[in-house]
Amino acid sequence: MRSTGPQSLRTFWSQVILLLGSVLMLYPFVVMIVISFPHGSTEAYSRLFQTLPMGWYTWNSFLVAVLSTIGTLILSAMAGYGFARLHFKGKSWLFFLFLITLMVPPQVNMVPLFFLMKQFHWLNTMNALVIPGIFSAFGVFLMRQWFQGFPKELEEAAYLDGCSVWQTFWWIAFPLAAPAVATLGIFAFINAWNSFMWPLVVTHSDSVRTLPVGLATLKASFRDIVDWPVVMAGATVSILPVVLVFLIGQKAFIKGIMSGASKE
Amino acid sequence: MPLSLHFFKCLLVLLLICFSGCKPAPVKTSPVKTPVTLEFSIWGGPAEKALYQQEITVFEALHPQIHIALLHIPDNYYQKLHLLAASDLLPDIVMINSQYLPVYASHGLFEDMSGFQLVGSETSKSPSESLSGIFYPNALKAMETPINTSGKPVLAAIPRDISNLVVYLNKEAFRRRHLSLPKANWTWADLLRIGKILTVDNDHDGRPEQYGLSFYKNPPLFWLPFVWSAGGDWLSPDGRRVTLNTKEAQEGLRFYQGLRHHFHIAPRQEESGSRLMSELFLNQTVAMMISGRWTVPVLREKATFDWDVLPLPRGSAGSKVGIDATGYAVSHASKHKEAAKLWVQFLSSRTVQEKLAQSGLLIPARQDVAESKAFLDPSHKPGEHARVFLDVISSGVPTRSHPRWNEMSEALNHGFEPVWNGEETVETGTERLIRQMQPWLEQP
Repeated sequence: MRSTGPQSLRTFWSQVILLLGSVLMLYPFVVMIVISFPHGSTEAYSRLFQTLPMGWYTWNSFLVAVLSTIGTLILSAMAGYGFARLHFKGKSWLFFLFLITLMVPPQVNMVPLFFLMKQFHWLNTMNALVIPGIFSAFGVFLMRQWFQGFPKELEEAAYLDGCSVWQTFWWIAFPLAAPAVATLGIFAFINAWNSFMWPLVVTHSDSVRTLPVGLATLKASFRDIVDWPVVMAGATVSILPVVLVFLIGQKAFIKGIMSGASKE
Repeated sequence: MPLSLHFFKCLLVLLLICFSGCKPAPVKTSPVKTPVTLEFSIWGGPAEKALYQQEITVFEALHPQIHIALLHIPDNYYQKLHLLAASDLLPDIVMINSQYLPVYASHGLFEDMSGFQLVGSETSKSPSESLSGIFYPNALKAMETPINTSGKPVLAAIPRDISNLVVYLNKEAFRRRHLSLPKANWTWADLLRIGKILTVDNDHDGRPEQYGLSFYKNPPLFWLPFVWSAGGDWLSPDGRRVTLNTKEAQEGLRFYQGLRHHFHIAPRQEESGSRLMSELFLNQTVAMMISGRWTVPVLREKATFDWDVLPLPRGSAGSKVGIDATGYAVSHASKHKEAAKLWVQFLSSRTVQEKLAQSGLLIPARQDVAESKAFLDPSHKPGEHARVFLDVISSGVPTRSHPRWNEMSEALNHGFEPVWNGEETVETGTERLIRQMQPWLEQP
C-alpha cells in the first residue's frame, strides 16, 4: 500500500529537486554532444581525428593520469599514516605546514616549479608532467583522516604477531583503506586528466602533449573562427575515460567521501 | 641495344629533372654552415599552424643546415612566453603583437632589427630591399618601441600583418528596409539613423527581432575607435597621464555606451547571451557588425546573404580605428641570430606573405602584397572592396602600449564593464579607471 503522508510528500519534492539539479548539471553535456553532431553527422569526429594526433594525446594523458594517480596514492598513504600513527617531534607543525600549502593557489607555485623543472632538465618530458603532481597535500590530509579512524586493535594485533611499522602499514592498514584510496585515486586521476595550465607550460611538442592541451590547439586566434563542432567532439572524446573511471569507482568513492564526515 | 641505352639515359635525365623540381634547390651561398635548430613560437588555429609547417618544409629544403622547431602555443601565449623569458628560454624567433612588444623589448629581450634587410626572393637572386617602402609605415611604427637604453626608438620586430576594424553590412537587410548603402564617409549621425531603421521590433515587446549593429563590448579594440574619432585618447602624448576624462574622450565613450543602452540599436548582454557576434550576423539577427579581417573566412564560408564592408563612421575628428600589428622578433639571447634572421627574411618574403594573405585571415603588412591579387582577389568576397581594410590603415592610430601592458590591458578590458552593462555612468567609470591606472604611469 502506498503511503500518502507528509513523509512521502517530502520524498516526492526532494526527488523533484534532485531531478532538476540533475537536468541542470547534465544540460552542458547534452549541449556539448549535440553540437558535436551537426545535423546528425559524425563529420566533426572525422575532422577531429584528421586534424589532431588524438591517439597520441590520449595515450599521453592516460600515462600521465595513471602514473600520477599511483604516485599520489602511495606517497599520500605513507605520509597520511605517518601523521596519524607515528610520534615524532614537530609532527603537528609539519602537518600544519602541509595544510597551509592547500591555501596557496597552484598558479603561485607555477613559476618556481617551472624554474625547478628547468634546473632538472625536465622541461618537455613526462617527468615534468608526472612528478610534481604526485605530491598532494589534500591526499595526505584525506589519508590521515582515514587512518585516524582506523581501529588500533588491528595494528596492535599485527605488532604482537611481530610486524614492523612498515609491514603493519603495508599489509594491514593500506589494504583496509580501500575506500579512501579509491576516493583519492578518482580525485587524482580526474585532476591529472583535466590538468591544462601546467602541461601547457612545460610541454612544447606534440610527443608529450596531453589531451586538454592538444584540444586547445583547435582554438583559433579569434572566437569567431573556431570550429565549434570539432572542439565539442574533442571535449566529448576527452571526458569518456573520466566517466568510465568514476562509474567503476563510484561506490568506493562515496564510502571514502563519507569517511571524513565523522570522527570517532 | 644502343637505342635502348639512349632511351634509359634520356629517362634518367628526365627523372633527375623531375625530382629536382619536387623541392627547391638548397641555397648554395647559405651563410649558415653548421647544423642549427631554431625555436619559433606562434599562436593560432590549426590552419595557421599547418601553413607555417608547410613553409618550414620549404625553408629547410633551401637551408638544409637549419632546422626549425615550431613551438605552437595554442592558449595563454603570453603567460608561457613570460615564463620562458624569465627562465632565459625565450625561443629564437617569437611571433608577437605590437601591444605586448614593449613588455619584452623594454627589457632588451629582442634584437634591434633596424638594419634588417629583406630579400626579394628565397633564392637570394634579387637585390635586397629596404623596409620602408615595402611595409606600411604604420605597421613599422607599431613594431617600434620607444624604450631602450639609449632612449632612441628601435625596430623590435618585422611586421607580418596589420589589424584594424571595419563595419560589415548585410546588404539584403538594407534592401528589405529600402535603405541605400551608406557612403564611405558616413557619420555617427548616419549610423544612428540607419541603425534605428534596421532595428526591427515587430511585436513591440522592447526586444527587437533584428538589431542595427553589434560589436564586442569590453575590448578597448572596439571602444577606443569612438574615443579617437571624437578627438580624444586614453593616454597623453608623453605617456604619463590617462586622458579618458577629457571632453572629447567622454563624448566618444558616451556614444559607445548609448549604442546599446540609450539608442538600443545594438543588443545588450542579456539579449545576445553567449552567442558570438559573427553568429548574430550570420543568422541575420544583426544587420551590421564591427569586426576585423579575421571574420572574412567565416563569412565567405557560411553567409547565405550578400555582404560588404565599410569604414567605421566618422565622429567629430574623423574615422579612426586602432592599428596594431603582429610581427616576428629575434631573441637577443639567441645563439643563432644569423640563422634566425634568415628565417624572418624568408617569412617576410613576398611569396610567404602572399600565402598568408590568401588565407583571408589577415591584412598583409607588405604594401605590395596588400595591393596584389593575393589580397584584393575579385573572385572572393569582399573582392575589390577589400581595399577598405587598406584605406583605413593610413588614418589609423597605432595602438599605444606600455611596459606594464599586462595590467593596463586587464584594466582597459574590464574596467568599463559596469559602464557598458549600463550599471554605471561613463563619468563614474572613468574616474574609477583613472584612479586604478594613473599610479602605474607615475612609477619610473
